[in-house]
Amino acid sequence: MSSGNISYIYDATGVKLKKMVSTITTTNYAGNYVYENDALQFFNQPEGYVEPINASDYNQGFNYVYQYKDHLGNIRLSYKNISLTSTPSLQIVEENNYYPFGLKHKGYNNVIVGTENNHFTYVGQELNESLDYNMLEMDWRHYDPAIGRFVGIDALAENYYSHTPYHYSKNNPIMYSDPTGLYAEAITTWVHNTETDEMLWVDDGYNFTLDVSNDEFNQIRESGAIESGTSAYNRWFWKAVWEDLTTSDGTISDDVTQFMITDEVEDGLEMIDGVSDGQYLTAGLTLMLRKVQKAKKGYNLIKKLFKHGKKSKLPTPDLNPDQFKKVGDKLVHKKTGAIYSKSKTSHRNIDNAGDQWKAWPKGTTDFGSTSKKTGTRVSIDGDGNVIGN
Amino acid sequence: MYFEDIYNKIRPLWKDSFSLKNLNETETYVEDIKQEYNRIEAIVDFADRKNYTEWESMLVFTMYQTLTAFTIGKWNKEKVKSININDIPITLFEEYFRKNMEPEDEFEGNEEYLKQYKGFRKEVI
Repeated sequence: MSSGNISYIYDATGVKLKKMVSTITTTNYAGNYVYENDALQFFNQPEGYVEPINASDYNQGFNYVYQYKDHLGNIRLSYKNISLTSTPSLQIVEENNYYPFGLKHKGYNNVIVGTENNHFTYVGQELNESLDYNMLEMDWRHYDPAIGRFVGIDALAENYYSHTPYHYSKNNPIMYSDPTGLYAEAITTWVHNTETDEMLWVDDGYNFTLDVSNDEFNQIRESGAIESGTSAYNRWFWKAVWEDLTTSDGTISDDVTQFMITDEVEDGLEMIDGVSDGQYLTAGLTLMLRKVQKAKKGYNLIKKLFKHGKKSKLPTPDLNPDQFKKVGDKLVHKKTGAIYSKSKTSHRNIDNAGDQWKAWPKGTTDFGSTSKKTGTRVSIDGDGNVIGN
Repeated sequence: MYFEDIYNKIRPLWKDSFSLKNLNETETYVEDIKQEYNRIEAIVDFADRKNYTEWESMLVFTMYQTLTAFTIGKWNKEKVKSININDIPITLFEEYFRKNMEPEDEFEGNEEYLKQYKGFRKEVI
């Protein structure tokens, strides 16, 4: 590593104004214009940048350099038009390929036409190779792509308590990018159900929001899209809270209130009890809401079954055999039509006394972990106690 | 399908005698019979599934129904301490088996199997 000093000057808002590498090179950042030792290097244009053909004689004109970026914003290919006529003739200026954490591939595609531009590289940020420093200058911190770690502590470290404060993009540089050095941005398609306002992620390498109908939304969900997380869930979350927990006159419905008090929804409430920060409060409420949403669907089934079971117990085929009929591998509750099946896992061990029943509303045809056709199942232990949805 | 063909395959799986212990607490089921039902169901529906059909699977459950109903009825009248499966007429097992396929309340019935079912091969005396 070469010896020397690199000094930076920022304005009060953190915008980089000047970089001095020992006494050799001084780079000035004047908005979109970048000067090196007082000579204009380039200025930005929407699809790349513009560089003077001769920095000491602007009369010779300028070249427009265009850039191709990948889904993370990495500058992969820069090219310009070198034709002097109306017929374009394109020339590749520079091609860059990166390891996942941002280290440049070396040893091929290393022909650079003109001046290498290190101001736009991995996630669109400047690579500083001065004095063999080899760091990416993210907005708030410098990042070493060779080790996949920032070299300064995260100013928002308390928001990522499960990660080291030096982590880059939660150690997932394909799905997230972190050009600011503050937080990891998810690069993923959001699928928005226009009828219910539900959201899903599709980890497909694109970055946009797709508005779809309810049927299309369910098809995408069944194909394995990721349920939307808490970080960008707030708008839909609060709308859903309002719609799902309240009746038309704005009061919380008795059924839901009763269920919240008596059922496992308290898991979410416990989470809320233990937090003080808004972000985690939202996460706790989101968990609670999901349980309420699922519970509400299974709740009607539970209410019906309770009418036909012993007090505080639900009927199950082995406790109330006269209330059931057997069809195939399922048992049907005669009075409600609820469909029961026994957990197969308990049967792998014949001596297993912990039998568990699962019940779905009448008409259910999809017996996955959660019914998509007519509502959510309820799980009942061997003694008839509801143990979850 | 005749009842005897199914019954003769499943009956040997059940033990003969059952205790009625704790029936005054459980009310809707007999612990000893329930345990036996769970054991046999595990064999017929899971462990040895390939050697049994839906017919036999249905009979395991309807035999459990019959045993439970008969035992609870007898206990209510006579407060007996045990019951023997041979005390129950085979016609009662057949009746529960057939009813299991017929529509009732919200259950629409098992028409497919009911059509194929022919009851007893020989008249039971």
